[in-house]
Amino acid sequence: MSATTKPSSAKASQADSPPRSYGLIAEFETPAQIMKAAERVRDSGYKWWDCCTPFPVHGLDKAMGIRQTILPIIVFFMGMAGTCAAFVLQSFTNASDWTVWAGVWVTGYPFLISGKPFMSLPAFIPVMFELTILFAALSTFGLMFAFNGLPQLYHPLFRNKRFRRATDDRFFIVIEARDPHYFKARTWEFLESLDPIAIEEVED
Amino acid sequence: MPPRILFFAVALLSLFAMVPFAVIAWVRSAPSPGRPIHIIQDMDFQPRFNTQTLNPLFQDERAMRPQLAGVVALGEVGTPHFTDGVVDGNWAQALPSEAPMSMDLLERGQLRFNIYCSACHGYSGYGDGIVNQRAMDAMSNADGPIYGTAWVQAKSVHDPTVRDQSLGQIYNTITHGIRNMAGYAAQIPTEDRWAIAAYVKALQKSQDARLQDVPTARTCEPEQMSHASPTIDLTDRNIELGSKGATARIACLFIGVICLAAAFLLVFIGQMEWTAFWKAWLQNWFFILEISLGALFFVFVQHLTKAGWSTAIRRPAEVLASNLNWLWIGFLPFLILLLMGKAGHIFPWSDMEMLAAEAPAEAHLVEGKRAYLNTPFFLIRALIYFVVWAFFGTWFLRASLKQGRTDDSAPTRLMQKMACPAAILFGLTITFATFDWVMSLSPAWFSTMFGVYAFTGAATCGFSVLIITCILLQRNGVMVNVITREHYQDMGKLMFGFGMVFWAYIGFSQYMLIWYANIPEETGWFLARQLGDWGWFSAWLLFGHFCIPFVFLISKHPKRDWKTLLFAACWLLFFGWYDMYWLVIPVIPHDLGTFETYDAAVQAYASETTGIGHPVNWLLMVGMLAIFASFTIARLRAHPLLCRKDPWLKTSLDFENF
Repeated sequence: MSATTKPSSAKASQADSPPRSYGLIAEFETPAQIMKAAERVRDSGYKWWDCCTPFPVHGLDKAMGIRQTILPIIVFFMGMAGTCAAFVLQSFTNASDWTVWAGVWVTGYPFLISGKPFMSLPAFIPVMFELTILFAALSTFGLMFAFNGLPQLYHPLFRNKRFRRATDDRFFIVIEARDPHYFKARTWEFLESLDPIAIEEVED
Repeated sequence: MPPRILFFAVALLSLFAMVPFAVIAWVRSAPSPGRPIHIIQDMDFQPRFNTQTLNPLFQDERAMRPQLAGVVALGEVGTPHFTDGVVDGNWAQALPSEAPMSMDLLERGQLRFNIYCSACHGYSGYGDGIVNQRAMDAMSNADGPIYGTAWVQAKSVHDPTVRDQSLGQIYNTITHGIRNMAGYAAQIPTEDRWAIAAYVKALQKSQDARLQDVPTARTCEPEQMSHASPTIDLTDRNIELGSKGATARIACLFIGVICLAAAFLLVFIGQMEWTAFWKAWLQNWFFILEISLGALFFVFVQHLTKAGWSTAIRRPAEVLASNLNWLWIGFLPFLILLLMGKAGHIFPWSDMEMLAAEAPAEAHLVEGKRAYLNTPFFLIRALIYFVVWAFFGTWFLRASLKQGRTDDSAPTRLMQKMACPAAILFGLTITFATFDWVMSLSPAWFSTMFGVYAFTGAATCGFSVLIITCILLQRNGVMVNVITREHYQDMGKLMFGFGMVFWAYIGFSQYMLIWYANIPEETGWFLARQLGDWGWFSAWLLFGHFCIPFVFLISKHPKRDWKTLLFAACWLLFFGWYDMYWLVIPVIPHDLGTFETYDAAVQAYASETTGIGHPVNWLLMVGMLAIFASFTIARLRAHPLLCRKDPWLKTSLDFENF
């Protein structure tokens, strides 16, 4: 009995509670306007906000106060990790007879190739190079997605009809409700002072 | 086991079963007066009248029936304005009240226009639709129009006679057609015809708009952009050296002559063997040559890729490359030595008797290369290299100067075309020049990668000197705000990518193949560079040319700051020179192949010295660099430092790395 009532009651409570606000969007007509507005939002201390433009606007990063990403530093060290991993892997498998536990017991197999020493760096370098690139590329790819919160198949802004012009000819500033400085009335007033052509609330 | 007769029966029956299919196949393909048999009917034959056929049921026997007079279809009734586009006997100027103006109406009009009208009129209304293109192709056939095509091009809606027509008139044309164009009343409902007419008006406006037509709120003046770069001074004061650099030019010339004279003097008084001196000369001269070749590579690769960012820094590169028209002078000593037959100690192949006496085994190998390695052919090739380099080196500078005097972009387009043969000839000449002048110093040895290796060396030297030149120009108060840190970052990337990473990649590839194959006549070349002091010398090359600058330059910040970039460029320039020393100076001992083991060879030659500390090396380097700088400064002073009318100039000045 309880098993059948539970979902319906959950549904009912969801329908009863008012939709949560995602935030406010302000619409601008030109890159110059959004550039000035972005500087104002940046200086007013909001953290959870973003600009949406139909094309890359030069200098907007600076106007928004976006900090340098730490991705390159991580990628550099991941690359170095790849170099080391390749070296350890090859020197273990080709130049040592150690037995180590790696899920199963694995033993190195010293194998003489064309009379070269077991530990011959020149032969290792191509693989070290490849794994450097592989680790760096995979970490760039994966972390870029992770840092941007991707993949994200749905976003509340997609439901807003006005926002569709963000891919055409309009420029939007979005201030999210989760921002500690966000109070609907006050933020609305603040956005109005930026002189946009429209302000709308977006529901989550 | 069934009786055998059964097998025959089944076989015979299967054979007979084929007969109907064979018959059908036959009647399907054989010519006959009757109708071919249709096995699968599909919808080929239907009990209906086709278009343009007879129908005896009607008096006029037409299968296609015209609309009955006085019949009006649903939705076609309305005011004369709506149905005929006429208001008070004149063409309507506005949309009827039945189809009021809205964004939806225009979008509907666009959809209908693209479906019905664009086939002839084209999507943008210029009368260049797909039908028109096909008809034009058919009419321009060499043997007269295909199928006797006759075609009147659909009118452009941007033609003044159409542009000035009122909305009602355009609607009327769509409804009833005009000249060759049929009326579309039967296909397109009235409301949609109005939508199309409205869209045509919008389309006309889109091709005939002035700045005043744009609402003021939507116009965007450049200065409104808050990030706009500081105003850039493009007057002579900022982009010509003028009186600046006169002293530096004389000073460089003076230092150059003094240093070269001192080097000669030291050799005259017996401080160095003449052979060693000419090899040092070869090393330093090739080093200078690489600077100009690297600059030439930079110039034509920008045109090859139609790069916009680099316009602000291309003139210095063009000037550096133009030095190729006098750098052949450095080759003259070898011309004389070869003609006198005294180059045997530098180019062993030029004196086979001496080589055969000293090292018969090596002479045997070199004998097989005589078709290529002989003095006349060697000199002819050198002539070809110098002609090609001098031509392209000066041609790009002259074309660019021409572009600077004209608003027409023809010189730029010509340079882009010229970049293709330049790239091919550059690749060939630098490869074979390196084979001739550097690889043939050890004629028994060979490496197919050597030309690419020298090319990466040219990139190292050329790009680093370009960076140094740009920084020095800016430190002297010209090109202010013209060259920005964005350009430096990109030049740094090129130096990093080509001059360092690619150098290491090619250098290592060359080394690893030889190391792995382990063939004595190949490994000797590398072994000679590991004997005695050369071991440390080679290790320094690896670290100084690759490992240290790699870590130093990999981040974008040192590339964007001129001080760190200047340091890195000087460092790499020095290692470009060091690399040439490593290539040219070591001699492979003739008895290297006689040692039992590697260790034995290393022990026997443990006392090998590199001789890099000898003052003649450094005098030659400073002397040649100073003379090169003197000529470069003279040319920088003679021309504007920027191509002011280059079509890409604005792109370059606004350039930003994302």
